[in-house]
Amino acid sequence: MRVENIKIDFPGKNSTVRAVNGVSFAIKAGETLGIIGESGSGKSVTALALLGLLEKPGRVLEGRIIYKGRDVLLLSRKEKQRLRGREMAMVFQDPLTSLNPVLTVGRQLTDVLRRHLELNRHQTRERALRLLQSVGLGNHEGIMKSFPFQLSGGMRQRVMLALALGANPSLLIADEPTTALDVTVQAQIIRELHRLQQEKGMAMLVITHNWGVVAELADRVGVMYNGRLVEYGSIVDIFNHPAHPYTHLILSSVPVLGKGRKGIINIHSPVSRVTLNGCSFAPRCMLKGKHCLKAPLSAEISPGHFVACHLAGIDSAIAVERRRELA
Amino acid sequence: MPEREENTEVAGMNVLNGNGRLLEIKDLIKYYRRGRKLITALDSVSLHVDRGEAVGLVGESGCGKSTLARLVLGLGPPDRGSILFDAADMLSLRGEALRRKRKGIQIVFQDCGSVLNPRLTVGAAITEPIANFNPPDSVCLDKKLKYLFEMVGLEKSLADRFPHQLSGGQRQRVGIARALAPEPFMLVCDEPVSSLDVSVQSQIIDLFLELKKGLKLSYLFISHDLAVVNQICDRVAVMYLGRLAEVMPVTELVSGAMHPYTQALVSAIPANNPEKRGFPCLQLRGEVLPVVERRGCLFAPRCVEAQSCCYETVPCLVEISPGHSVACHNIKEKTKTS
Repeated sequence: MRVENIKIDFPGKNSTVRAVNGVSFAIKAGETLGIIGESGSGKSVTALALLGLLEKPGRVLEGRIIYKGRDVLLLSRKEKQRLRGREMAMVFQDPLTSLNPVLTVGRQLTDVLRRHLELNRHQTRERALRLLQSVGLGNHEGIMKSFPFQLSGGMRQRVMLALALGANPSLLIADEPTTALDVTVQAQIIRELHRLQQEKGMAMLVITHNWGVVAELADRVGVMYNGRLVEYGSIVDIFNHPAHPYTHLILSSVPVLGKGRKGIINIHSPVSRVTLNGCSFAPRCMLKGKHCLKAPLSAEISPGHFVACHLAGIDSAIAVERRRELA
Repeated sequence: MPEREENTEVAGMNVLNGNGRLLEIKDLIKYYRRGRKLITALDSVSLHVDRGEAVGLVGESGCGKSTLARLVLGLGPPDRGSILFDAADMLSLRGEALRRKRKGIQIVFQDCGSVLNPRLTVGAAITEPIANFNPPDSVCLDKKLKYLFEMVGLEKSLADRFPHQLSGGQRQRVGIARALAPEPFMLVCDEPVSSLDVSVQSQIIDLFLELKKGLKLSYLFISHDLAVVNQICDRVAVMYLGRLAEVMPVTELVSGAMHPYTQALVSAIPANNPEKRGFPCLQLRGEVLPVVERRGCLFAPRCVEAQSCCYETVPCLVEISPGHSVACHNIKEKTKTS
């Protein structure tokens, strides 16, 4: 899967909101990409666009989403339906609202399987039971017969996972898979995701605002801010050598047990996107200067580590000048 | 058991002297009726908060954290037990006396967006509790409002806005300002930062710390995020299904946690570094189970160290070192042998 420079707009009555503004990334088979960002940064919208599930009035303005050599945006509705479930599947944040409350888990699970796979009634049931087992749920028979509200949050999330894995997708998109869960359950779900990925060799896209989830699961990380991918690199690069001021800011704000936070906090709150020009992080940035009125382009500062900031990269002329100004 | 009783007696004297203890909860029991069934939300919970101290209350959803907060605020009667606040028995006070006393303890909710009246400007929302306790005087109110806005780090110009025009962090600040308006000694905070983004979350944490220092506020800080509790609180109380499992100084949280449940909670925190991934020592079976029978240790079905006695008798909180109490049979064994 390769995403190239997509821009997504939500036209409103008076103004148009640019939710995603030129985001590019790639996910290789068997790899996990984590996308992290604050609420409203465009993470979920990007995920929906990948599946072709973007709802009106949202629309993809430009860019390409290449999946196994084909552009998802150019596919017909039928072709997209064939892609979803069998090729890509999604786990949503809140399983209680994504599961149908009036159907049993078994019915929902077999519906999915029969839609995507050509199996008879008996085989479908067998497979459904196996799926429930594979996501770590005991008492399969009982769970097949129960309704979503009878299950706990962690169990529901496992059911969602089973639904998504039903047709053996090669890409699993998980949108905030653990946000509504307790830490203990979160740890179990993260383990489950990790194990399933190892077993099935799927590619995974994990969207979250929790650094812990990223640290546990991702091979590579994309940091989003106001619809832009401000930093993108391997997990080690991002955690140990963050180059964008925003990545610095959020990494240092994460409370760590036993250590406290690392310090620097700026006082500004996120601002709603007003301008499409200039660096969108500039109003909150402590290092901002006159260059930041121009939108920074993403530059590769070390192999595979991309940063969209004028000040990134030690040898950039602007960075040198700016550092001198500050000092 | 006798050890604990001794402690509470000392505590009672402190309250009489008017210093030290601010809030003292003793053997609090609360049932909720659901049809014919009685659900035990709190089971003999005893906890105290000193003046200027922040006590964190952690546990999974459904363990009774919020119920405890409600009872402390007087938003419902307990079925048994006592709540002493600022040397007064909150459960026997009535009318005006209760209202005056309650002024000293206020709450900050998780989601201030839904707590604030959407039709009131935030300025009006904050002045309402001030006017409630003081004779209305517009000059004085305005001054007070300005002071409160300054204290929580909001611009005064925001006073004329409506809640929907503010960001999540600003709304949380309004919620805090509103709670501070009647000049309380203590804030009960029910998951005050869990719905915020990390960068905003850390600003609000800083605000709580400043207020604690500046106003000598006490907190009962409810959260399921141990890392947040670790930053703000002096002591932590860990709850499991309506009972206290462990109470300890926050400094011992990382390495000194004794109760297997606390240890599991600590180990369930995701790594902060990709090199340390994999939850090395997560020892916990299954999820919170619905309690069929409140017999023995309620954590036993999920505990890896459970023995037969754990299913029979209820472990009581035993102090193992100053300020550190654990309710676990195995701990008693360990301390006996050592």
